[in-house]
Amino acid sequence: MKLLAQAAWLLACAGLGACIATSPEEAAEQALGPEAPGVGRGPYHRAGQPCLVCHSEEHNPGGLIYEVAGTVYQAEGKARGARGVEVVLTDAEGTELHARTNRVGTFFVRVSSSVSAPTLGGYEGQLLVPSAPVFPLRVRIGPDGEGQAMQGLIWRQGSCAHCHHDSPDETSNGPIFLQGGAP
Amino acid sequence: MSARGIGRILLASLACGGLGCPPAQGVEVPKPADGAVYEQYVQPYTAASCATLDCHGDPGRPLRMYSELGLRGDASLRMVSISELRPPQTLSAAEVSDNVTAFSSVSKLEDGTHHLALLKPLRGGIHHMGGKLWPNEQAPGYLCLRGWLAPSADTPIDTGESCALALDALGP
Repeated sequence: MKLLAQAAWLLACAGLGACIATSPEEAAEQALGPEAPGVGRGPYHRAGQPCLVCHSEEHNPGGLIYEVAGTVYQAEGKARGARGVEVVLTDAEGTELHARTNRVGTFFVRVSSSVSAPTLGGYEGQLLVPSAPVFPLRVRIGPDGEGQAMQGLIWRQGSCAHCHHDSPDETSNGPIFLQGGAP
Repeated sequence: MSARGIGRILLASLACGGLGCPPAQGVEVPKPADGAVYEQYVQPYTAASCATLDCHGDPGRPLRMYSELGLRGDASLRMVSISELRPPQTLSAAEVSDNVTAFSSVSKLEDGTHHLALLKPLRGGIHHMGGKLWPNEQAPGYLCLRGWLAPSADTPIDTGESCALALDALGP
């Protein structure tokens, strides 16, 4: 019995130690795995992964905080990113933000005090905005009036890949791709 | 307390955490609400407002909801990406039933208007991670859920109309 009690104490301490050593945010970052070979950190890395895992207020080892970020693919199957796709985000106050994907299909929206209006630039794929968009968001990708609209609303998650990951299954609608092919 | 006693408490806590324990004494588990009313009127609204994959469409949430665009009960219900050309499969009877059960398993206080699903999204109520969706008790979304979860002969609510108005307010 004494041995059993000691074992229980050891297990409890080990569990507590694990909780202290790794935060949920750090665990989520580690779960992303290593960088792809040959792709350094920057606007072209980790395409298709949930960007805000490392670029959020809660956890930003990436150094930049994004409000919304994601990747659009040229076609189903997640083969290649679609460059130059317009991503139109309409927030709860009716403000429209027009982002544009970079060469790996990724876009990211970041608040900056250096702009007084939404501005593309800094990095390819980056849209700087003076204030954070208000959730929920509606999204459309493609040229004005001709794009494909997301059928649901984004209520609180800024990473597209939080819901659009891997293959379609019970927890995912699959990656975002241009249904009509690359522009 | 002896080390033996502490060890027993720890083991019991681990067991309860892993296996789940019955609700505490004195907490009333409500009877299942009307499933037909839920499926016809409430589900379309909660699917759009609550059950997205980033909110209650997360399988880890205490109030977990299935929906056509969100979480599904089985991978076979979403084998391909949803699009305008490939609409989602409609909710199965099992998913609808599970949704009703999820709402019904949330403990309520002395009367139905204190159901957590009513209080949390209501401004001035209990903290809600998803924020305050309803400014007051006249909001269509609030009335939609209240009419289903806490129907009252004294204050009848047109659940169908309320849910339709709430869904319209979310936009196209």
